Amino acid sequence: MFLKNSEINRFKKTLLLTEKNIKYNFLKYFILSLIIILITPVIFGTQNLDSRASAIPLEFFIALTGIILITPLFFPENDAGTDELITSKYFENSFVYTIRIIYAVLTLFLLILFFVFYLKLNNCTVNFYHIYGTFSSALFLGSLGLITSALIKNNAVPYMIPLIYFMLNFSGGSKLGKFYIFGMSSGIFEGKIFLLVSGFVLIISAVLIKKYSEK
Amino acid sequence: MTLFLKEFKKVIFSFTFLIFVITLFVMLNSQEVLNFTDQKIDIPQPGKTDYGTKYEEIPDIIMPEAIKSLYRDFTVNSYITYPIGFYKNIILSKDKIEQMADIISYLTDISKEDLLKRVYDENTSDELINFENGTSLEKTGTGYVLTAPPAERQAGKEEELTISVKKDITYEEFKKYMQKADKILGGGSDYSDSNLISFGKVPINYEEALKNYNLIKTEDRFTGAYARLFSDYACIVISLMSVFLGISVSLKDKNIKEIIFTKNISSFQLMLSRYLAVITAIMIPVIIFSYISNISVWGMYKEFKIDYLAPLAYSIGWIMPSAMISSAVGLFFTELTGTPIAIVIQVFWWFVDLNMGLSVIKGGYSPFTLSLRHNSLGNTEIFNNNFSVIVTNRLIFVEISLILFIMTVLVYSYKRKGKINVFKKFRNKQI
Repeated sequence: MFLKNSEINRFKKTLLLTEKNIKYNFLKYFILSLIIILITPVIFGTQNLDSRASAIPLEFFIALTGIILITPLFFPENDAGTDELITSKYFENSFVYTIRIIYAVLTLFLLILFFVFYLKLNNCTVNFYHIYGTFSSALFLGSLGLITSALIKNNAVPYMIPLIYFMLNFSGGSKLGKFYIFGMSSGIFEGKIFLLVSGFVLIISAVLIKKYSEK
Repeated sequence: MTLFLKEFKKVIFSFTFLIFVITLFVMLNSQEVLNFTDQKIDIPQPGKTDYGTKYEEIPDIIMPEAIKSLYRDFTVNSYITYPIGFYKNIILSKDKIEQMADIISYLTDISKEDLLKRVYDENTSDELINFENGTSLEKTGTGYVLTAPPAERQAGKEEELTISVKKDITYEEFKKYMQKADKILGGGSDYSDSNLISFGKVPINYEEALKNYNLIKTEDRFTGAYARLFSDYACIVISLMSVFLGISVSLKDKNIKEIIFTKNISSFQLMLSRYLAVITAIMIPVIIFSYISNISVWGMYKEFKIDYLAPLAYSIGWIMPSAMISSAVGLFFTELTGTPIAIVIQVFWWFVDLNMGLSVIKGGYSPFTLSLRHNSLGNTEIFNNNFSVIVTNRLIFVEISLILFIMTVLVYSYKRKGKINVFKKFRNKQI
């Protein structure tokens, strides 16, 4: 035996926790994201696109799935209304948040990968940067929502902040410099690292804020 | 009235409202419509060489320009379209190239076979690279062959410049074939019915410039033109942001629903107070910002009779219907589902509407545009000519808002009676 019984027990409980969270708290957002992915070809052209044109559906629409998947990760605690319950659980809440973040970020990446692959099949000029660039923009938008959600116990405001940021980018956001989320659509295929790193920093900060605010 | 005040306080003392006001300010400021002091409308002076340009449907100008453009796109097999406002580069497949060749061949004297020889089809020429100056690099079995462009092309005498439409083609027929071309491209091209006019660019002369100025002076009384430009931007922000106030005020009730449900207030009274409170809360900052923006030009037109009520009229007539529909969407879907799903609905609607409106950004209206566009200081003639469409549009949105409001009352009242609890199972669960 490589693992002790207590470790196996903990592992089983982690799996159960992940399954229940996905079923009750994540599935609806996943379905919504999937709908976004499926209607994108209806709104945008997705055939024979050059590199820049391929970035348009990715950055302007697919990136919104970041808000859908990441922003509501703390909502179950907001909805329950009884913070007392949290402390009585088997797992620390920050562990639960980490699990949720892992599957949400992974799903986001896979959905983007799936759509870029779809573009490739439709004779569009896409490469790894399209996946990386879209993921960075989506993660940054989602992380803006998540940190707002950590600071404010409200289910509408956390969506407001990333959408306002999206709107700001829309109306001449090139002034936002390194934090411009539509870079690829403007023909700039570099600099997304700032969005990616900032996204992860904001997510980690959100978990820490949530953790210490619950103590 | 007490109920209204309670709801109003609930809205304006919320975090959502604070963010709403800050966003409105930031967005309007970023678009430079809060201060127009550097945008004085001066009377045009005679003898100038340039008074700007305009687009007119003159067949003799549109037909040769459009066919040249289509031929140019055809030869490089690259077409730029904007189906919902976004840039899209179309490269046609082999069968569609043939269909396009049929169209050009019919409209010009060039045979289909000849046309097909001139097209660069990247679908069949994977190993051929064409450069913009006409030089091409082709991969062969033994290496690469660099071909220089023909002498006349190098000298800039491109054949495409001499292409012309056959004399017996009428404008109506030409438009019909351009529609077919647009259809092959998937819509949103310069050859579509609404965009074909972009080939009819003509200079504005002094008399026309003076006429435009006089319209701004007499019809808009100057301030109207500024209020309209302000409304163009404000309407975009309001169409999206208002939904959050509707959602937020509804979600606030979530934890105290049991108490509210047992109170002796009719559902209609409560919802009406709430809806009016949300709209009032939205419109107060809109009207304040509209006046801040408009006052900045009052001093510039002291010698003229200006319209001091223009900001108020545009705020209520132009912006308020968008605020009404957006907040009604927020209230209705939140009451129905108990979730902020209205955000997704409104964002989607706003996004598609905004991008479809980009093609008529300077002033073009349809009865179903959520954010009316008039991104131009002046253009009063277009506004006047379309006034009935604008009124119809705004009334449609007011009516839909009221229908949604009534539906919200019905949902709320059924919930109080315990008859519906939609999406209960979809709510977040703490695990």
